[in-house]
Amino acid sequence: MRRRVRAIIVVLPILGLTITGFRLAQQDDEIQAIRQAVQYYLDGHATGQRAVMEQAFHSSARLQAIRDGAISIRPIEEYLSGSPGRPADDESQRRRRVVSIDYHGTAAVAKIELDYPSVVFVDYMQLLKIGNQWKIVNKIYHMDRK
Amino acid sequence: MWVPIARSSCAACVLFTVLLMPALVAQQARPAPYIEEAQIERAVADSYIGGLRTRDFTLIRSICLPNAVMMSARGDGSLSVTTLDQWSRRFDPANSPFTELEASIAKIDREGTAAQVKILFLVDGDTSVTDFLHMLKVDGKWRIANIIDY
Repeated sequence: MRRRVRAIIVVLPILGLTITGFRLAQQDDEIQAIRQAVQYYLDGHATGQRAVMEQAFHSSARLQAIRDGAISIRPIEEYLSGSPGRPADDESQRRRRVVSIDYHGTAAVAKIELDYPSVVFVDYMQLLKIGNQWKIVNKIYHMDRK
Repeated sequence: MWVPIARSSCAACVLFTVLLMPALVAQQARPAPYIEEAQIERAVADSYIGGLRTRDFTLIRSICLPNAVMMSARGDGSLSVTTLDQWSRRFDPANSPFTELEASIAKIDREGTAAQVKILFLVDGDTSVTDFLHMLKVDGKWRIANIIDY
């Protein structure tokens, strides 16, 4: 009986730690997968390549912002078709970073900052895990001129 | 004894006026921090969460932009997109899908006229639902542009 109790005392914490470790690893994998979708977006900006940018977005995605006091809505196709195909002339001076990522289940959000020589954009992305892949389904943004 | 006290009081008044008053005036002139976040929190609590709780879709519609959509990932791996009109038709005030809805606004992140809000729901004490809202400030009011949930 004592042996059994001892075995339970030893095994239970190990089991708990293993499950916790597995969950943390799963969370880490999910964050990495979300970050990859966001990275396609950042790389799309850096390269100006439509093929790179469109990997980040779902085909039904929308982009919205307040421009000059009015709401501006752009479907993703219109946004992608504006890809210049090459990096911007001042690409070396452009800075981009992922500020934060949060998720629950198959829904995620990311905050991104694009710091360019004359303007700073803050993008808020909504992502969904569709067919085992994270895709941006909505983007809203705010722009401040320097 | 009277004179020194009066002099020191007078000096304190001058010191207050010269040094502290401008600082106080500047403090009052500056916009209160997080005033926008407070407006977002109130609007979401009153109209969105309030509308869900009381099963009043007019409240929910009042805080949403006309073209707002609710999106989620279906179990079969496809994208579900629900417009406000589609949602309102499914929104039966007489038959609530829950008896108890606990809600807390877990996070508000704002930059200028754009904001992201995270709401945690506990439905009937045993089901967790998370809503992420995209909000834009239009004509001085914070409105929901998109909702995703899990």
